[in-house]
Amino acid sequence: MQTEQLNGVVSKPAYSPVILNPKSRFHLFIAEQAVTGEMQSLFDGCGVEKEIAVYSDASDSRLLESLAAIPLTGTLYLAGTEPFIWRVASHARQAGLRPDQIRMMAPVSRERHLFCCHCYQITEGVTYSPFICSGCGLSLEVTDHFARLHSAYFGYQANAEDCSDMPEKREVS
Amino acid sequence: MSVIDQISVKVSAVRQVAPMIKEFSLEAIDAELVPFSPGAHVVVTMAGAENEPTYRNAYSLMSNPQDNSQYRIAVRLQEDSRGGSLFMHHQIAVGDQLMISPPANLFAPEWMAKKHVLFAGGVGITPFLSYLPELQQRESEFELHYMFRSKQTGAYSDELSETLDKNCNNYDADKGSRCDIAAVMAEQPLGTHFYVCGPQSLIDSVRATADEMGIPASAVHWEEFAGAKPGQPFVVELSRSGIELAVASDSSLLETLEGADIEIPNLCRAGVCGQCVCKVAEGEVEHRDSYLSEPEKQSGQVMMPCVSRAAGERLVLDI
Repeated sequence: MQTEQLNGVVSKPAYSPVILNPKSRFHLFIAEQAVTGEMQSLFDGCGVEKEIAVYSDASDSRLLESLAAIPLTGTLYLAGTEPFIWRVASHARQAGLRPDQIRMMAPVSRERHLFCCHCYQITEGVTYSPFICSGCGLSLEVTDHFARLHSAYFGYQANAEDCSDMPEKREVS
Repeated sequence: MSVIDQISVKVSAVRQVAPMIKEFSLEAIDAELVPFSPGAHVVVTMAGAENEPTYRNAYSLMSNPQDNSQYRIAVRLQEDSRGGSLFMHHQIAVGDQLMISPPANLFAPEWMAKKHVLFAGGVGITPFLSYLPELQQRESEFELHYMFRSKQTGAYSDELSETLDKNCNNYDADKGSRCDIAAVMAEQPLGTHFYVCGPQSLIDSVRATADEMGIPASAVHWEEFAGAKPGQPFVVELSRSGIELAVASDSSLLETLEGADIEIPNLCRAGVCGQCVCKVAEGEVEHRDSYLSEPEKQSGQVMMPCVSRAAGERLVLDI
């Protein structure tokens, strides 16, 4: 898994180009909604035992079964949005995969899930900061701290000392 | 010497547990021993008579981690001993005092594992003896593969096969029994972690087999306590004090510094923990550690004095 430092925030995932693991005896490709071109060409270039599947729900029971069936020498490739690929990765680790058996492609969109530290609600489709929490309605500062447990970025009330003075809206990448 | 407080202990029992291995029981003299985690080790300081060198060796704790009435270590007499194991075997008897570091652990089990496969070679069985009580208590799935030569090593092999039954596989090379490492590794399920402790050749062999099979590198754990290997003698200069010291071919740089009363923090003395890192001001380094990254080694600006040496005749450290 690629977790190098980016912009000084250690927890913000960085994604480097994905290549096939030449040592693996089995390759499982999982995409959210649709197989991306990048994943398709990896799959086509893979000469050993392989499977490819598309899911919309990262916790789909058939997906969990196929994760548990990966052999010790297998590699998992993930494509989709950031919350999806990290949630599948989390299930994969529960099934016994090591981080170095999981290869993630750069997320297909820059939309974030945002975790509210006040009401614990996760707001989806976040592209700018501050962003209104779908749970408690507070204006949340969107940080670059990514929580792998929640597959979401950490959010806290923007300028809590003076809520009438909101920071300027900015895009998050 | 380590910056952490040392514990003074008394040898309460010595047992010959294999032709080349002695087991020592250690009890605290004026403090209580702390519980430790499976896989932990201590560094034993062996102060010889006047004008004799002081030896410091790391030994795995092999007693039950929950038992703080005593620590036990096992020492194999090394044929090419640089002094430490010879000292333990010939000089240490019941009632003698030793100084030990508090336990440190660089080889703890990965508790997320679905299954643990342990490869022990000779005296490399010791860290696993502290694993077993906890593996059994947690009802973890595990198998032990224990390779030894009964004419030299093989301590505890009878007890282990008796108590662990089919979870323990003994391979006595002196009776022609060999472990097929590839066959053992090939049939393991997803979520298995492998642990190796033993001679370098065994560690290399397990790692190479895993790599060849496509087993993730992060699922293979090993403990290198081979200690510093000898090399060419060289001179080290300490730029801040101007001190110059000669490092003999059979001494490590760390030992030489300690001999001159220069305190360098250290935990493993085997190039693994990273505590003793020193800044290099001048001179080429022959890196022998497994702590520094390749770019750090290439930079030539840092080194691990516990195992690494000068590549030339002279080295200047920024200390």
